[in-house]
Amino acid sequence: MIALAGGVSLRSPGALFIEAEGALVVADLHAGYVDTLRHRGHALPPVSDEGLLRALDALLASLAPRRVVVAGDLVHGAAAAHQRVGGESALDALLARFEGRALEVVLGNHDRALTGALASRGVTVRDEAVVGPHRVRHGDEAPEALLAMRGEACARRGYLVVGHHHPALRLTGGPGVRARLPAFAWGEGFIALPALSPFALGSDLLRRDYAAALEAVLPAREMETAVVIGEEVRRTGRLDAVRGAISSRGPRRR
Amino acid sequence: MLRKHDPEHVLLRAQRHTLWTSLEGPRAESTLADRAARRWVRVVTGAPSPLAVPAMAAVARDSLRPDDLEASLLEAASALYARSLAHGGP
Repeated sequence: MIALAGGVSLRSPGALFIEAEGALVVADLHAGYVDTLRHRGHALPPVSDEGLLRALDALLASLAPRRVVVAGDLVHGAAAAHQRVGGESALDALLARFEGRALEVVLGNHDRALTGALASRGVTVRDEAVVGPHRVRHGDEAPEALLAMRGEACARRGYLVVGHHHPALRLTGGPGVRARLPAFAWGEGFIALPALSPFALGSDLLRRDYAAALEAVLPAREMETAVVIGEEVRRTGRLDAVRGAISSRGPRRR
Repeated sequence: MLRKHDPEHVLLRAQRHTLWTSLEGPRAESTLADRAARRWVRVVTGAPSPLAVPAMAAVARDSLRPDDLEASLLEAASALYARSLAHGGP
């Protein structure tokens, strides 16, 4: 866990907890990912969202939030609302986890087609969630718009919290130690959450082309990073310094 | 997309598994049965055969992976943080 100013903390495996509001913010769950791909004709076995549900259960049990805000892409596609053979839909299995808690879903690019299905299940659907001085959006807006919203968040001494970008960081250690890990990227007035979906490994922030959209909102010299390893969130440093540290050790293998 | 950017993704592994079990398995079994019926001659070579190199590389790669990958990654993250601080820090 990494504690930021104002009682905000970054939690494994990719969540934000705002203590004063008792609010848990998660992003990019992409529930029903496999259901959606199978519906599109991909030959995949019927893998469930077990890993995602386990991660959510652990977060809900340890933090006991009064309020849960999903920063977009709750589901991967419309097929998540289709009933599975002999069971409930991926969407219903997910929503059952939040019973008894105030759930707000900020619409992301993957679930805008499901607005009706969510509303008919009593889920509060928004374009932006307000949590104290913080604003939660999906983050698929134009960088200029996000930059302006970040400015407003700074003026309120809060954060603009987004998902969508699936930040990750490639980490290499000794022989055989190499992995791409979900990462938090944050700085003054801005936090980008990693995807909670275990199927979305994310975009490596070390690659300037992948990180360009985030850097347009928060420059690398102001962007702190941390990776999720098991139950821990570990700081890795400011993005420009991380890049410098890695490039000084010679060419990086992709 | 996954094949290009993440060839070891769990879904691709599952797809390979499915293809193997539902389509390729029987064909491979029949090929192996055919090979097993042939006469085998064991020859000890003076040096590794070029044909053995991919298998040797795979074996070596497996043995390099640490037992506790999570602990090794935590160590790597701490080392990277220390180096990034030295490069201009927070």
